[in-house]
Amino acid sequence: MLRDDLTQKWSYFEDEERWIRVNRSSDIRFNSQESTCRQAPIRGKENLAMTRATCLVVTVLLVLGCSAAFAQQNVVLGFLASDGVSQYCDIETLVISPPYASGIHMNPACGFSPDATLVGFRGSILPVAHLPVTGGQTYLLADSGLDAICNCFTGEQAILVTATIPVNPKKPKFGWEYLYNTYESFNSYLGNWGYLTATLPTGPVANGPANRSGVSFLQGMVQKNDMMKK
Amino acid sequence: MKHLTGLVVMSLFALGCSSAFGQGGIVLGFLANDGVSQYCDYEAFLNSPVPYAAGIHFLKACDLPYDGTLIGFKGNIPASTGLPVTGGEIYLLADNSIDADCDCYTGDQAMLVTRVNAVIPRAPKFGWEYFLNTYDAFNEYLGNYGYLTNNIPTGPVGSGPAGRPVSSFQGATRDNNMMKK
Repeated sequence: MLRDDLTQKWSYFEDEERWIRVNRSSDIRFNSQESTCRQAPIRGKENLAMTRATCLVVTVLLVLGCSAAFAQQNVVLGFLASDGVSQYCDIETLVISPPYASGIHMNPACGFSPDATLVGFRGSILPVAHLPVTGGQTYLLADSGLDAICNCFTGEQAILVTATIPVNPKKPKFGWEYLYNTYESFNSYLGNWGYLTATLPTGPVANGPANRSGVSFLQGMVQKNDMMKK
Repeated sequence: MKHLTGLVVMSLFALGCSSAFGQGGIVLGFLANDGVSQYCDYEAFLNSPVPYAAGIHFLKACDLPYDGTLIGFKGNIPASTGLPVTGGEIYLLADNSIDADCDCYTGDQAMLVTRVNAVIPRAPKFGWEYFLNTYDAFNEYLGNYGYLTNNIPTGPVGSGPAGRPVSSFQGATRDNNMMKK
């Protein structure tokens, strides 16, 4: 029932966004394909960000209620860059029922629609893998983020590795990383990694690292660290 | 015939690639859970160095325009889950075959769990299963499962189970949501 409510809320949100897009007098374009032609006014972006932030809060509350109803653990975390300061605009919302985990890689604060889908299992990556995030209290999640960003089939597939608690400032450890493979290939590129935070982004563009995109998983498009060839 | 030639070339390429890097190359077909019928798709991935794995979910044999992409890690699913495929010698692979099938962003995401050896007829064990979540949802459906085989499908359409789609993931059901067990 709560999940239906959640879907309904998102439907309202999408309807509102669609209305604004159709109503050209508002002069706001949100679709990434359209945004290359026209820039949205700042006020429009602020309104949209507010709408999305409100929706985000509603969604998060529904997720919490939903998971409580099923005695499951819920996780809502933001992504800090590996500098420990800059924050990306996307967040992860998971429901965990060990060893299962599924959820949403949310992009509303990034100005993107649609969201990405997560599904996976608890995993344990040994330290010999030489990855930023290792150990047993992690989840390995198939992530449709790359297709979601372009709203198309890219041929690329990402896997998100994430802890379930925010970074402890006194004892900081990296909390998330993602790897991806490209079309018809046998690569495992380490795309990006960083810390997890309980602080959720609210603006249309987060304060990502200088000269970088605001989305955590768009950082890895430089194909340098192929773990299959280490 | 072009499909068949392409498949053979790609498989050889995969094997050649793996040997070039001294990596383990896995090429396996999907049998249904009846142990007889074979789906038209197959998997080819490298699983070295441990714990990494990456490869291709070949769909072109099913007359689909694109193949799926695989990436993941060696994993361990406890037997207590009661899933068809459990244990430590398995790989958890993110799989975009659902999007590849429609050549679009569906919002669905699959994870393929697979062993690295074909079924032993004297002691048969299920060798593959996959899970999926749908758009803006918190589900983990056990979509389909079956055995692995060294026989790679050669025709444009495999000998799928009667009344079922011919690729492994097209047979997805949404009856078994593991998040609600």
